Amino acid sequence: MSAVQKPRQDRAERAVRGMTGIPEGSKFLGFIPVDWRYDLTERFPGLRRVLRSRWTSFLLQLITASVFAVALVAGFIGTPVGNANLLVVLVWIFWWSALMLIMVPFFSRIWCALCPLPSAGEWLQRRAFVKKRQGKGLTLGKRWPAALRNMWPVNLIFLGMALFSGILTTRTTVTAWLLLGMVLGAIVISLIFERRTFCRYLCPVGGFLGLYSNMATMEIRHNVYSVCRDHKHKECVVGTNEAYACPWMEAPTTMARNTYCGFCFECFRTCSKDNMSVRLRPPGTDLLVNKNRGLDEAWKAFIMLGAAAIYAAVMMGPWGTLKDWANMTSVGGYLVYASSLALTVMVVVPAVWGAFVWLGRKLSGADVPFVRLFTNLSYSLVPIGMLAWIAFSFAIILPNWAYIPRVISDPFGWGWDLFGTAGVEWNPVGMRVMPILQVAALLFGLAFSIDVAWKIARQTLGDDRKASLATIPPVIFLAGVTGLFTWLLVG
Amino acid sequence: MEMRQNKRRYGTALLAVGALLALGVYAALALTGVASASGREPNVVEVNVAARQWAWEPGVIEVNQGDLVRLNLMSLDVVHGFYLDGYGIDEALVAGQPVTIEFVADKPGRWMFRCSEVCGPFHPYMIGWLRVSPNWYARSSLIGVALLAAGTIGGFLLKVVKS
Repeated sequence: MSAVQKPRQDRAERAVRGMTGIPEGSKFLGFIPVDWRYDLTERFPGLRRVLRSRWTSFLLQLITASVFAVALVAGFIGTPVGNANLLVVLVWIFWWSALMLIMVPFFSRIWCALCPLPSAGEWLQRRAFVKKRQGKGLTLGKRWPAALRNMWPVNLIFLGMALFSGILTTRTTVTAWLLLGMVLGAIVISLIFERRTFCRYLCPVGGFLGLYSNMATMEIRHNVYSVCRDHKHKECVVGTNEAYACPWMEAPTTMARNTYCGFCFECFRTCSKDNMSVRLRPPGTDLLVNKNRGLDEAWKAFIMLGAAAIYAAVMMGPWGTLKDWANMTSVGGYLVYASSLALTVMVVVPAVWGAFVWLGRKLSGADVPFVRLFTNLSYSLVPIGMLAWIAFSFAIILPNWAYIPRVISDPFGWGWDLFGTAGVEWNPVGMRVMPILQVAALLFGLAFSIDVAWKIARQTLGDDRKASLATIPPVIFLAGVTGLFTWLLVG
Repeated sequence: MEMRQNKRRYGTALLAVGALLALGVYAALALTGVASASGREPNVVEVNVAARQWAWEPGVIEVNQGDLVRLNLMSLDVVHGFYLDGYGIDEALVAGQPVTIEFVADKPGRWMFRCSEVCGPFHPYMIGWLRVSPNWYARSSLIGVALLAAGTIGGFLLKVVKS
């Protein structure tokens, strides 16, 4: 009997309770059992064959790398008008919206499998495009320093970028230099360090993709736990002659969260037992995993929540002075903006959240350490943060979609019309529906966050009464945050 | 064991009912707000609006549903455009040349007006707000937030009292 035909109970036991600490019987918003799974690779055997092929990853990367190369050239030599330049439209309108509205919520870190930025570094490191080449790769293969094996470097790099977001998202050459810098950085890191160290520990996008992919409705996990347990030669961890060890330095046999799974499907290729699966699941499952939670990820949640509010104010707000500051019109104004942003996301949001958690702890009389409760409950900010970004992204794509067909036909803004779409009129769509979508997203985010907060409190405190009292102040915080986004986006 | 499970079911059911209630109220209020006029006598609201890179002055315009809105638009620097979300109004603004537009504010809510002519790097963010009261989108959202929060906290307190 093959591994994939073993009883479902084994999977359920492994998937949820055995390793994750998710309480038995948990239901997403009280409806869908958290341990519900739909195994796509079992249902569609052809999908497993596609994912096992080394050509799949290569072709996907080749396509995105080719498009990216053209876009990068457009960034350097095309028109400086952002809305008419392929690079800015592709990255800040198309990619961003696709990422937040489709890829992360539904397909987790699938973008990391498509991302062109590390491709050159990875190909150099492996000295191969498709088939695995035997022998040492072009890398020193060093391990990333243990003290930095967390999200702090990414948090700081992301914050550094966020301070210049006004410039980054509107200037073609700045976007081009940033992305070229990331490609070169990825190459240098891949020559020094092992595997996808850049993606895991340094990519500024990877940080929030990792955290928010905990919300995704898709996961890659091993299929039957006992098969992995009894398989002494952990091929997914050490690699085989035909395939590489997990490029993300994960151990698929025990992986319980999407955070650092780059959806590269390499584990499908290494596993001689065919014991890996792609499965659908209820959203937010990983937020309940009582394993590997940390302050670094908590701060990522604060940064993303605070940044969403500030971007909504700067980019969607009516305040000209704020826009001038973000646009670096004056040095003094910019310094006020940058320091306020940094202070808000790194200090104010965590401090206010900490005060509410502290109050909840006092109210409940809980005896768990404050930092543990603070860290664990911080994961309840992920749903409202992500849904706020989704609401924000509606306001990016719906008014600006028309720029996409335009730049496809005229990528450099030189008056070309390659596919007959250069003349598409700027014509916002769905403007009357947009506020409804935004409000629905925010309310769903609030309900989702409250649900997660309650479950985490119960998991952390182990007592329904204490959990109820400890959750009350965080619920007030979450409601306040939702009110703030309501005002910024539709109020 | 069974009691514990019942408690959990009770908690999740409370949350679910709260969420459904909030969404229901939101939908009802949003639809009612869209469908009904405010009942006030409509006024003529005239506002002078200046456009500059990359902001509108004033940035926020407040009117009531049914008001006749007259906007005297003027670009102070380069060519801008005035596009009003939800109303589909789109006018080009040449620097120094005044343009007047009139419309009845028959769609309640907060609508963005934005520049529709590429006017420089920050063009996509050149946005102002037109608030047409009653803004049921915002009100119903806030009511939903309050209901969700209050329902949840009430449920928690009830649970504590019962335990």
